Order: sequence, then C-alpha cells, then structure tokens
Amino acid sequence: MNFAFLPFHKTLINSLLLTIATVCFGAYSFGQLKPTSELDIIDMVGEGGITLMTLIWIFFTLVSRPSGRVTNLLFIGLLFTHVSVLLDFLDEFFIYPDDHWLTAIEALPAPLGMVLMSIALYQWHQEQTAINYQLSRTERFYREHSLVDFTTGLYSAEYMKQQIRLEINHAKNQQTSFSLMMFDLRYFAQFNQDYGYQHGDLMLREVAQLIQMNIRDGDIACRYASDRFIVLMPNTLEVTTKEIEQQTKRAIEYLAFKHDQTSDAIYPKVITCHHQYRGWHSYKEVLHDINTHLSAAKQLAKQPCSA
Amino acid sequence: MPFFEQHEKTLVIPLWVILLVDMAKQRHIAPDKLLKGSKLFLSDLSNPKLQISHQQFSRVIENVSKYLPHSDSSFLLGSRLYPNHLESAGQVMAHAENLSDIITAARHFHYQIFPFLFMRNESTDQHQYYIFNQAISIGSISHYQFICELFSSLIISIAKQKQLPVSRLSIRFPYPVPRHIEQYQAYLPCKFEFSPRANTESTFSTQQAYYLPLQIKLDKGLLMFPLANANAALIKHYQQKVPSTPLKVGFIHYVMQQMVNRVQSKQEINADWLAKHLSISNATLKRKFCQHNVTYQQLFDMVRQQQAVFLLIEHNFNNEKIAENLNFSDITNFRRSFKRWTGFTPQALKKAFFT
Repeated sequence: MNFAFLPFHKTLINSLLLTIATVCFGAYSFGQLKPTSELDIIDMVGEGGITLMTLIWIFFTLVSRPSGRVTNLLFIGLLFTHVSVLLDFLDEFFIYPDDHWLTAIEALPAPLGMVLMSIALYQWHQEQTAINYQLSRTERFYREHSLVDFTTGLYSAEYMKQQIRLEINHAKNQQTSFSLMMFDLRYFAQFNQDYGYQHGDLMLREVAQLIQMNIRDGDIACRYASDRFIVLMPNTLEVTTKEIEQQTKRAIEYLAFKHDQTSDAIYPKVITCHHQYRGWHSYKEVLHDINTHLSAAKQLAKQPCSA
Repeated sequence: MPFFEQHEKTLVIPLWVILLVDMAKQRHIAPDKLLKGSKLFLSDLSNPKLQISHQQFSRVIENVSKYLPHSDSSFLLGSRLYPNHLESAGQVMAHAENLSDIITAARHFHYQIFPFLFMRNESTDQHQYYIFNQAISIGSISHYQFICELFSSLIISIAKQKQLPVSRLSIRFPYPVPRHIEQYQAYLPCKFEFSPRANTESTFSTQQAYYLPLQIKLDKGLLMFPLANANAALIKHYQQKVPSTPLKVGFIHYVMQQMVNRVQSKQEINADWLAKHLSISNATLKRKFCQHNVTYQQLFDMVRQQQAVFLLIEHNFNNEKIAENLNFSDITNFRRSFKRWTGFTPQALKKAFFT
C-alpha cells in the first residue's frame, strides 16, 4: 500500500482524532457507566463493527486521494456519519439522564453527513470525467489498474492484446480495418549504461507522453515492452497512419532530453513502422507481424545510407 | 566430492541480488520483501565476497516473481549484468576478437558468470549448437523460465555490444510460447522459437520444464566473425586477474556429464555404479537426488531424451540410428522409451516441432 498522501492530510487526521476524543469525553461526562449485567453483547458487536467500518472508509479516502475540495467534503461527510454511529455505540456503555440533549441530537449528524457525502460524490463524478478525458488516449471502454505499466503510466502489452482482440472482432463484423504503429527507441541500452536507469525510466516516460500528445482521440498508446511502444488506430487508412507516424517520430526526435542541471541535451532516435490489418488474423499473428515489420525497419536503418 | 550442492554457499553473486534490489526500489517495492526467507540481509550485500547458496538465490527469484510481477524483471537483470557486473569475465568478453574467444572465456569463467546453467556443444555440418541445462538443481518451471530469460537477455546484450549479427543466432526455449511474448520480441532481436508442450502421457508432463534444454544455434561462419572493440592486450591483462577455475561443478552438471560420457563411450551406467564411483552409499545418493528435486531415473531419461530429440530434429536421423547411438538393443524398445519420455512417437514429435 502506498501512504504517500497521508502526510498531506495532517489537519484532517487531527480533526478526526479531536472529534472522536470530544465525543467520547462528552459521553463519559454526561452519562453513567451501565452495570455489566445490562450490557448487550450482540448490540455492542454490531454497532462497534459499524463504527469501525466508517473509520476504515475514512482511512481509505485519505490514503487514496490528494488533498483538495472533493477530499475535504468527502471527509467531512464521513466524519459526521462516524459521529452518529460512534454515539450510538457509546450508548451501549453509558446511561444518560432522561431527555438529555445528547440523546436528542444523536441521530442528527448522520443525515447531514450523508447529504454532504452525496454532494462530494457528485463532484467526484465531475472530477473523474475530467480525468477520463485526460486518459482518453491511453484507455478505451475498459479499466484495469493492474495492467498499467509503472514506468510510463501507459497501459502494458496485456491491455493492448485485449484491445486488438476487440478490434479484430469489430473489423470482422463491420468489414473495417485498423492500423498499428510501433515505436522503438534506438541505443536505449547504451543510454541506460551512460546515464543510469533512473534517467532511462524518465526518458521512457517522456517519450510515452510525446506519443500520447501526437495521436488522435480514439487512438490508444501502450508500452509494449522495454523501449517499444505500440499504438492502435481504429478505422484508419494507411496514408493517415503514415502521416501520424512521421509526425510522432519527428516530435520524439526533437525532444531535448536533459539528464542533469545543465542544458546539455540528448536527442532520442526512434525506429517506427506501421501496418493496416483487417479481422483476418488472430491477435497473436497480428502482434507477431507488426514486430516483424519493426525488425525489418531496424535492419534497414542499420545499413549505411547509399549515397 | 567433485561437485557442490544446492545448499552450499559457493556462489559469489552479490551484484545480482543488488541489481534486483535496485529494480525493486525503482518500482517502489521495499527491498526486504525480495530478501524475505532467503536468510540474506541488505547489509550482507555490501560485502563483495559474499557467498550465497543456490537455495538462497532461488528464494530471491521466487520473491521477485511474487512482488515484482512485471514480466520483464529477468530480461532487465540480464541486460544490466553486462559488462560491468561480470567483472573480469565481462572485460575479457568486451574485448574479445571473435565469438570463439567469448565462448572460451565463458567456459573458463563459467561458475563466476552464470552458475545456474552448464553448457555442452554439438555440431552438424553447418551449425554449431550450444546446449544449456540447469547445473545445480532442478528448479520449478517458473524458476527455469526466469533463468532462461535472464541468460538469453545476457547473451544478447553481449552480442549487441560486440556488434555480432544477432539475426544469425537462433535460441530455442525449452517451454511453449509464454504469455508475455512481447518481452521476448522487444529484448531478443535474434530468432527465437519455443518447444512443443510435453504430451500429457509423458513422464515429464507435470514438469514440462525438464522436457528439453535451452539451445542456441548459429552457423559456423559466425564463430570467427571479427567483433567490435577487440583488444588482445586488454584480454591478456584481465586474464591474468582470473582466479583459478574452481574444480567443483554443480551436482546436476556433474551427474549429467557422467551420464553423457558413459552413454557416448557405450559403457553401462546405473545408480549403483554412480554411488560406488562417488564412494557413497546408495541411500545417500538417493537423498542427494531428492534434495535436487529429481530422481536418478528422471535425470537419466532426460539425458537420453535430449540426445534422442537432438539427433531426430537437428541431424534428421532415423529411429535405427538414434537407437544405436543411445545404446538401445532394438528399435521397439527405443520407440517405447521415447513415447514414455515425451508422450509422442518420434515422428509425431517431429511434426509438433515443425508446426
């Protein structure tokens, strides 16, 4: 689990602890401990469980979200709900004087909290829409976080395989075609040896972003393996593919990668290839084929230019 | 004993573990997770003379597969080892004049650079074959696969740095096409193929990894191909730094070598002979086999099976010739054994290979 967000929520965590302390102290000072004979184990376990659950929800909200308006709102909503549940739980241990105000308001925070949470969820929905838009060139129809490549933030080859399978079915049924592009960084092993693997990872990340910026909405880019990237372009003609391939290649080769605080730049070189497919082959054959195209392009690039 | 076993601390590979730990850190995985259960500690790794056992390293690899579920860990490690992390051996290879030099260096430094596999070579008229089997212990399938991937990515990074025309190399992996084929496509610019899945009737069906060895094939012309960065004087310099090669080899390496020799010289071999040869009791020998996850009979079957498959596929021998080569008294007997080893008849296996 990643707890990187927790340090940013110090205020929220403090207010949570303060609230719990206040509620417990309030219950203790206004009420009287029940005699052991009156304790109802089943109620205690049930309500204790709910109290614990709301705490777990608060915990997961805090560890998974950066600070901000939506997080605050979610937190406050959950906190109010938690207060109600906690008071209910403390009821099991304390007897309050008849008609004490504490019993009267006990139920109030929960509905208030739920209203706040509903507002928060609506805003979360809007936030998610914005994020989905940002992701539009890396994902289509389907989300599976375990398939995201850690280094580049793109999806991995496994996700591309699923997408190609879908696309093949689509192409078969609708008599359409789709194109694949592949990019391979040249001299990447050498780069890693010269500048270290951290810089290698950074380079991959930047190239990934450049590819994303240069493709169209509706295309998706994935990291295939190592220094190899793959782009799926549904319903695309060869000419268009070729043009986008050249544009992307140019964009990558203009990247002035900085490895230190100096202005010295390294310009990456890429080998590219593309091909158009119909739904005639399996996804394994398609992937094998596009890799063969790439190897051919590599061979061609290795040969010294004939004048 | 002329061999060392899987629990003996004989491997000097702290750098490998350090590189794996670095990879874990890069992916925000706590390094101690990789070392869990291996009885290794982070502080141990700073000792350059640290010796670890095969058992310990296997445990680390197991943890890698569990906590770094990225199918590229083995390939990354292989490509990072060379040349700096192979030390003198890496330097000798980096300055070798031709492939033949590299192979000599590899034999010489075997247990320092890659103790997990051992090499045999075979040849036909046009091709040279290097055949690799597990040297110390028979690991699980996933372990064997990790080792094969690691090794091939290491070989390819050497070949690439030396500007050897890698497209003339062909690697055959001892298992069927894996799920993460993309790693092979991106890391291995040479030809590569996979082996047919062992038939369910085979003795090895539960342990498909034992089916065949890792095999590298190249045309003989490549051996003397002049390589980049050759420097004979530097090789001499580094060769002098070489510690004398240890005489001990891995347990499996030793036993398989004995078996191959006996079969080739048409002498009989069985467990009793081996025990006597090592001056240990039959029970002790049996226990040793058990500790290395294999029985005497399995290993012997494996040796003969690998030879049979090689003669069948690469030499295109007929059954009579293969039976004769493997000291079988008659063809029926051979065919029955072949079926028991692979689950296929010789002809069916040939077909499985070429489709």
